[in-house]
Amino acid sequence: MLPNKKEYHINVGPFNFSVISNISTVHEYLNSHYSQYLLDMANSRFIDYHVEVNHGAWYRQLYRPQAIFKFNQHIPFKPLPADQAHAFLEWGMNWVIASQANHFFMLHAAVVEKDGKGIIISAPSGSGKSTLCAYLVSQGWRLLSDEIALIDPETMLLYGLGRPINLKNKSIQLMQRYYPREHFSSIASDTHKGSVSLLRPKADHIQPLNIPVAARHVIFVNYNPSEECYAEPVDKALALTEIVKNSFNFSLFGTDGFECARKLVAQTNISYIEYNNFSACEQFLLDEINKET
Amino acid sequence: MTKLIDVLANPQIIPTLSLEDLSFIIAEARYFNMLAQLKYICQVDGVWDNLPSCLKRHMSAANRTFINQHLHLQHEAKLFETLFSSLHVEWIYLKGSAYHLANFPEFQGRLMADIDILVEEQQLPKIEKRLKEQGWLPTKLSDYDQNFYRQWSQEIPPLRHIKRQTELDLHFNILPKTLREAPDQNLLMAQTVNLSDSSENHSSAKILTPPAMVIHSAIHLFYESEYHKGLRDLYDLYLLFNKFAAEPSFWTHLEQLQTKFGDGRSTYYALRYCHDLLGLSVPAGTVVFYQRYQPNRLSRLIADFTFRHVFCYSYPAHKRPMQKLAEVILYCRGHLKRMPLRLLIPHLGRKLLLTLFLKANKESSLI
Repeated sequence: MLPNKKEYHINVGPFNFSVISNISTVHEYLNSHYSQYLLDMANSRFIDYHVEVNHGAWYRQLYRPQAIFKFNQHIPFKPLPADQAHAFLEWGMNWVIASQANHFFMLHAAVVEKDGKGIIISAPSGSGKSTLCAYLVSQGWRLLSDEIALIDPETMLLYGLGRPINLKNKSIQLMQRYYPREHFSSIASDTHKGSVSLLRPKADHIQPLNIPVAARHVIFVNYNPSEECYAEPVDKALALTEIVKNSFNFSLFGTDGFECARKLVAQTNISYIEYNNFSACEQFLLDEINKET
Repeated sequence: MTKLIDVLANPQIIPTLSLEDLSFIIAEARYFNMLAQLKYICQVDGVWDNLPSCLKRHMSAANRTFINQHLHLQHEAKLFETLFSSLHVEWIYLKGSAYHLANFPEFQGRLMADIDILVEEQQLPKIEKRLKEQGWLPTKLSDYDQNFYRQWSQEIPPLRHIKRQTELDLHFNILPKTLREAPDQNLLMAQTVNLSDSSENHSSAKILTPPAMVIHSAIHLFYESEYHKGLRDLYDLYLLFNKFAAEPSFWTHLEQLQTKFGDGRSTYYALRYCHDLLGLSVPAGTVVFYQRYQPNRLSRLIADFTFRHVFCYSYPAHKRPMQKLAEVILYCRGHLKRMPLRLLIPHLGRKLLLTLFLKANKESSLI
């Protein structure tokens, strides 16, 4: 196999990443899913984070090929099978942001926007956060992030990443009704999260990426097969503890962390939703947004 | 390409660098865990205000880790105060914990991996017992490693607090017992001052005197066999020299203690590389004094070759063709300096067998 190392500069919201890879599927993935974020390599610019996803040693290209993720010359994780390389890159980038971008107060949550209002969607893993996010974006909501809510602690504004949505298992099939085929990446099967496909939102569902929005709603969602759409308001004190639990850097922020969480619950409407019907859930959210204005 | 060490030697060059160069300076500082420290360096040198915000935010983000660590250290120090006082033993903070608890402003932003404390060897049993009662447990190590530490090094195996996850290195000696040129240990251990002299807190803890601090730090750096953090450690020495040199009598005291202590080779190297690579100014008299500890011409050539490589070019993007050779030479040198061959050969043989047959799993698991 000929070495085919290439470097890409990609802009995702507030960050510029340099991605180096010698894996052809990663090149294909970046070209199909990041085409609108690829930056002209001829220009000199500030790079926030340097990451690499490369093949393992030459003999591991013959026998059970591996992909190795590197951040800033360190190898933080064990290698994964080479056919998961593109998903590995996404997880690696998430980890880099969650562990390094401590100028933001960060929550493990999805963020979408409608009519200039930011909605933070929080849910335990596997309970449909990314799926609901993908559905809403297909209906014209703007995607900020499906994994990490970036909150500027000074202004309390939400910043978007607009990266592909990480769909797992049954959600992949479910979303095929709403997105054309070419928006789905090849499926990484047998990962620690099951089967994974990365879903590229439509270009106009991400723009304008670099304009932050104010958080207006926080919703805690849970998929419930026997409930079409049930919603109830959440007590602020309870919401605060949930936000603290879902924060990547609450303790690192010290008293600032508490202040951010407190301001967030003070400025948002907070609901708990159990649903199995996407459009009913969307309708509830639209009503909530309109109620306010 | 501009390297981090160039910026440390002369922070004034930062505003002249391109955005591309600055990306690599930030990346290298992150690699050496010096990003928060870089913020203070920029502030002290007056270049901070005019830096682009894309750059500043990384240093400020890293600074959160430093502030957090500093609070944490003060909390631990309070607990140690109670623990050691109730046992009526003396305890001396070393390295990073000493610089921070003594509030040395020059070390703002410097992160530490663990807390280093020196106690008297005969007090160890009761101290270890009390530490264990309070949740300080040994990190996982084989029996072989446990024995090796106790028998031949200068510290017991690292302890970790079961709840707070803080790491504690408990030293019972200032230098490894195996040292061929073992100097008089008590001499250095007697060189202490009260921590409360240099900071506002009313602690009974101690730290080393300025000359002892420098000699200790130099010995530790130049007896090392691995130099992954070499740049940070050399910069520590540079900061110490600069800080203490504000008191003109420091250099005389250093020479006096060195004469009593002997073994000035490490301090000689510390001064040599702090001067050559970071631009430290050393009084002529001190330069002349330390010439008596200078190795022969050949050793000097080898030392320059190896140390310049590890201090300047350790960041993988800067590595030079002979980097590996320099690292191997220093690896062997460090081991030979720390251990006589009758200990070293069985030790390395055992380590080699263990590495060959038991795959080390060092990477953390995926989130």
